[in-house]
Amino acid sequence: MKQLRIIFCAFILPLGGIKGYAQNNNFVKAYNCYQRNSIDSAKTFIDLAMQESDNKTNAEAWTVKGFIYKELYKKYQIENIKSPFRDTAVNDLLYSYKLDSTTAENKENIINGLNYLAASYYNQADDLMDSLHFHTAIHKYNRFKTLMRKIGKTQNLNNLDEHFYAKLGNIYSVYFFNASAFNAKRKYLDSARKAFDAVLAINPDNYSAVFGIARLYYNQAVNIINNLPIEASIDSVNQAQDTCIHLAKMSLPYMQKAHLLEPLKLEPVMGLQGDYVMLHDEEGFRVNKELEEKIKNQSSPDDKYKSLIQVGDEAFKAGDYPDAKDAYESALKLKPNEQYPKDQLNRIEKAQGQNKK
Amino acid sequence: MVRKLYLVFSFSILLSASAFGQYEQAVAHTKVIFIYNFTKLIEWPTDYHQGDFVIGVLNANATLLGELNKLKTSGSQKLVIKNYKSVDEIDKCNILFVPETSNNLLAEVVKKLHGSSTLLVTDSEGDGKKGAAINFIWKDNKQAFELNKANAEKNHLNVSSSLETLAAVNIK
Repeated sequence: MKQLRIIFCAFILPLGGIKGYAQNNNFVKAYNCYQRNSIDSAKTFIDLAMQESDNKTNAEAWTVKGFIYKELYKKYQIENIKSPFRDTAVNDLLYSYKLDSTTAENKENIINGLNYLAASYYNQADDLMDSLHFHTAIHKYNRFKTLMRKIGKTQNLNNLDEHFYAKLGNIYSVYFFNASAFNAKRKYLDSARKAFDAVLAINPDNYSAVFGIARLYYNQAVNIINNLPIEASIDSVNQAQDTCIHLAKMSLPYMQKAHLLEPLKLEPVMGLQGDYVMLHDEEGFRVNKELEEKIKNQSSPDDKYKSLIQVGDEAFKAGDYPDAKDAYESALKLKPNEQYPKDQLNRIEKAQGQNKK
Repeated sequence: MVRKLYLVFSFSILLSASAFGQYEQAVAHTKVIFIYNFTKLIEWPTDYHQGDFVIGVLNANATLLGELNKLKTSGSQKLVIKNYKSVDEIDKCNILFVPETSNNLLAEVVKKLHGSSTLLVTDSEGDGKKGAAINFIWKDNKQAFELNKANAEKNHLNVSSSLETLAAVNIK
């Protein structure tokens, strides 16, 4: 899976920021420790310094405190998604940024520090964007965006939003398809659609969102038929078929657009076949069936293997173990000596075993 | 069960290989629901009430067979699915379904079933006039069926009025 990462080099607060203070001042001691990378001592001194009334409105002191806590975060809590050190660093730097006494030079330092911390929120959001942790991912992502707005760095947000909401739409789609209660289904459907619409508002040609919407309607139709009990009355079958036709009509234009955007991808072509079956359009079905064969014949075994592994990995991450299993098994059939799909199948078995407990 | 289009969330969304053929399953599922309804809306002669209730299919594919095997009972009778590989194999059954792929054997099937009380269900345009009592059709983009009551009655099958109402076409 392609991931967007924000890489921001660690920024060290320059020395010029604290001229004119007495050397025995706790704040200066803290800064000196920070410069020597004695970060624990720096913390002790800065905490003492911030209890002194002179420092309550001292922008430089707050900045130094923010940078010391940023280093503490890096040293002790870089893996902690709820790092209190990071939160303190962010709050202190923001506070310093707003103080009247903040100089332009200091503001630049603060922005550099906040940039680093904001990037850490974004990267965590990206890492956490899976079926189990997406709520936390949303929280982290919003924290990232808030920070970026506060420091006026909004230029790249649209690109990141496009990426983030496309992923989020797909997570909600998984929940939508797996939910059984009507209200839950409705909620996840609305959330998925909202996320995809947010993507399309930024980029109407985003394949992920276009296909995501097509698939939402298509799978909904398929689920309606699948979920009909075998003892259902003919009247209820007819009603279900009416709904399916409606959904297939909703899906079709998005599926067509997805195919135009990615003409060599199999998924939209297969989705189109399904839509045309539901609409009983034999010609549409035939054309896309032929296209499917053409695309399949063009793919090398290596391409197929890679695609299956990608599907398996995404399904695994989304917690959709049956589909992940199918994909890894199909990949193994293509390359029986590969260890990776075998390992993943073992992980699925373990995960499913744990779920049963 | 019809497989959903697989969801992959990245910039390059893929579709699980396992999703192939999902529409076939949806169509098969719908047909099997119809067939199950026929078991309730048709009355067979008393000698067909004993033993198992047999639904035969001529050369069913795996998808259709999977759906049919979900059927367990019909009234008090145990429901048994038989997949006949040739017309010669066809024996006593309550329903015989001839899928579109076996339509070329229809004339032979009609001959074979002559004198029996098997409900012949077909799946190809025009079959309602070629000996079938029920023929699946598409109407208004929906799976539906046409009923040839006379063909059913020839085989001593009693068609309920509800089935006549539910039929998209009643062949006279």
